[in-house]
Amino acid sequence: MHFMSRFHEARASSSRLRAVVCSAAAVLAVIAVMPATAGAWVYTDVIDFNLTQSTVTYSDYSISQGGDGSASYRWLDVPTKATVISGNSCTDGSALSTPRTIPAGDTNYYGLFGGGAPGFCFLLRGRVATGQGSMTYYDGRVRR
Amino acid sequence: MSTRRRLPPRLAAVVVVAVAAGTTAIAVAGGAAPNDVTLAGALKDDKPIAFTPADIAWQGSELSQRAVTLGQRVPLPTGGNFNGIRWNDLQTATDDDINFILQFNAACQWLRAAADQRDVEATAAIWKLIPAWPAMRRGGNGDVFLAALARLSVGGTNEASVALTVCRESHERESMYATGHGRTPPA
Repeated sequence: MHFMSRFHEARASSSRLRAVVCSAAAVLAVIAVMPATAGAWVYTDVIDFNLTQSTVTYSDYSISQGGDGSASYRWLDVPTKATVISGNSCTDGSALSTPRTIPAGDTNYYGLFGGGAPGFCFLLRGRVATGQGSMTYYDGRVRR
Repeated sequence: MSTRRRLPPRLAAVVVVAVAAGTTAIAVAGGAAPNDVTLAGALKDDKPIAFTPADIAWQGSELSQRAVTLGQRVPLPTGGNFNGIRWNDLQTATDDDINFILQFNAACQWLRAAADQRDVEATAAIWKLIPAWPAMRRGGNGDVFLAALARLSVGGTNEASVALTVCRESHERESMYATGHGRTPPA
C-alpha cells in the first residue's frame, strides 16, 4: 500500500508512547488474571511478528522461575486478522498444546501451554487463520 | 576441512529397505556417524539461527526428508538418532527451525550420555564444542546445558538439573513416538 512507508514511520515514532500505555494496561490485565500463587512473570515483547498462512517461528524462550509453568501470548497491536499461535518443544518439536486461535480485534492473553519446569525451552510459532492472507508488522508479548 | 562419513552399515540398510518397500513413511531420521568430533567442530562455523523468513518452508514428507539431510551434519552418541522428533507437529519449517531442533535435541542426547557415562571420551570432547553450535548460542541455551553438565560432576547430589530432567522426559516421548511409528528409538 502506498501509504505504508509513512504509516510505519508513524508507528515507529509512537511506539514508545504506545509501550508506556500498553505496559500499564497489560500489567493491570495480567494482575487481573494472575493466579494467586504466581510470582514474577517474565514478559518479552514480540516485535513485528509477521504472519502468513504457513506457520513460522518467531523465537525460542524458556519458562521463568517466577511463573506457574505456563506460557501465554497476546497481541499488543490490535490484530486485524484471526491468528493461530502455538508453542512447540525445543527438544523434539512436539506441539505442547492445541494451537490457540486469537480472534481479530482481541488483545487478551491466550494460554499456549502449562506444566513447564523453569528453564523449559519452547518455540513461539504462529500463522494467520486459514483464508486470512497475511498480517505484518504487528507486535505482541509473551508471558512466561 | 570436515570429512563426511557414510552411515554405519546398519542404518544404511534400514534406509534402503524403507525405500524399496515403497512406503510413504519417512526415512530413518538418523544423525551423523556416532561420536563424530569433526562434525561437532564444523557446526560451530554455521551461520547464526535467526528464524527469519526463508525462501523455502518445508512441509510434509519434504520436511521430513530435509530433516534427514540436515541431521547428517549433527553428531550423536552411539545409538542416538532423531527418530523421535515430531516434524509433522511443526506443519511447516525452515532450515533454521530444523537445524535448531536437531542441535537442541542432540545436545540433550549428549547430556544424557554424560549423565549415563556413555561414550565417555567422545562425550567429553564433543561437549567442548557443543556450546558454539548455533542453537546453543541463542539466548543462553549453551549456558543452561553447561550448568547441567557441571552439576553432573558435583558429588553428593542426587537431584538432576532441570535441563537433564527435561531431556530425559523428552527422551521418553521420543522413544514412544519412534516405537509407535516402527522406528528404532534413540539410545
